[in-house]
Amino acid sequence: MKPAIKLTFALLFGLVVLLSGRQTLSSPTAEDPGIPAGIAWYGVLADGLAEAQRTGKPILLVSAAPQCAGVPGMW
Amino acid sequence: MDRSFLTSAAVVEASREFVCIRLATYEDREEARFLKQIFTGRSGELENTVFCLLAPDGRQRISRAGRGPGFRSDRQMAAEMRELARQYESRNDDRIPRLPQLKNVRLGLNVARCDNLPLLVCLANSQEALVKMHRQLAPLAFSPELAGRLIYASSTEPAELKAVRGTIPESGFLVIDPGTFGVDGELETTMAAGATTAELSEQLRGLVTRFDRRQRQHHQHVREGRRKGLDWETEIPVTDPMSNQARERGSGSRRRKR
Repeated sequence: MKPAIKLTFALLFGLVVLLSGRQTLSSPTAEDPGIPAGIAWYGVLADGLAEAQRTGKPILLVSAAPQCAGVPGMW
Repeated sequence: MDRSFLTSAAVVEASREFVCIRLATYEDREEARFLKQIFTGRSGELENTVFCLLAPDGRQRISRAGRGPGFRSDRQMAAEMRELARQYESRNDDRIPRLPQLKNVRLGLNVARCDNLPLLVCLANSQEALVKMHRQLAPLAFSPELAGRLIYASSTEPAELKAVRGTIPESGFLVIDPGTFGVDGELETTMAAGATTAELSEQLRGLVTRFDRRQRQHHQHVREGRRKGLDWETEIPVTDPMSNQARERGSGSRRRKR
């Protein structure tokens, strides 16, 4: 392959990499939120139990301490 | 507990057919009594984590109870949840769901930091006004765009927000970025209590796209917290032997450093 063609390929490849990088770094949209979907947790037992009775849905029950070795901010 | 299961897309999707309750262990005496009926470890006491699937009556266990999910994989957990949900006929009445919130702002800040999510506080000067705000917010909290993307708490006492930096209004929907250790925070934005549902929805959807989720290493977080002398005061005594040992080691190192 001629050096000029090689250079063109290299430049095109570089452009593709740059553009895909820009896409990855662009701000997420409302349709593609930054925070992924999660479980909507009831944090008060009475609220959750009342909601289960109202809807007839089964319950996913979890309990965890919001502190590790006394340090808050970490499960 | 393997919490990665609880953030798996498959489990999150399956959770929509469940009412999901996550309690903060050692933060409420009545709730602790309930949890002890569900599971106690070898110690015979309430331990840090509890997991169980229950029938809608909140009494009958429909999975084994333990410290964690105990499934081989998140996919297996999701499949079993879907199978169990099929056995119950859910009712869809016209009533608005309750807001999935924490019991107070202090706990809200802490849990929001644990989950690395923004905290939305409904602040009003009366319970009646709070109920109105909850009715407006609750359907949004379960909408596909926002479900599980915010933590909620409520207050009628602005003093409850004294650890939050920023100008706290008398009432409104307050979005707070919790501090590194969930004991303080920064007011990000405020929406008036009279905001329309469409305005609320748009603001919150924008917010969850922008929120900066700070990644933290577990050990680094605990080490830094100990260095700063932080020691979370629980509502009731911690009875998990391993947790107490870890806490003792931490307070020992704190004492040595003084």
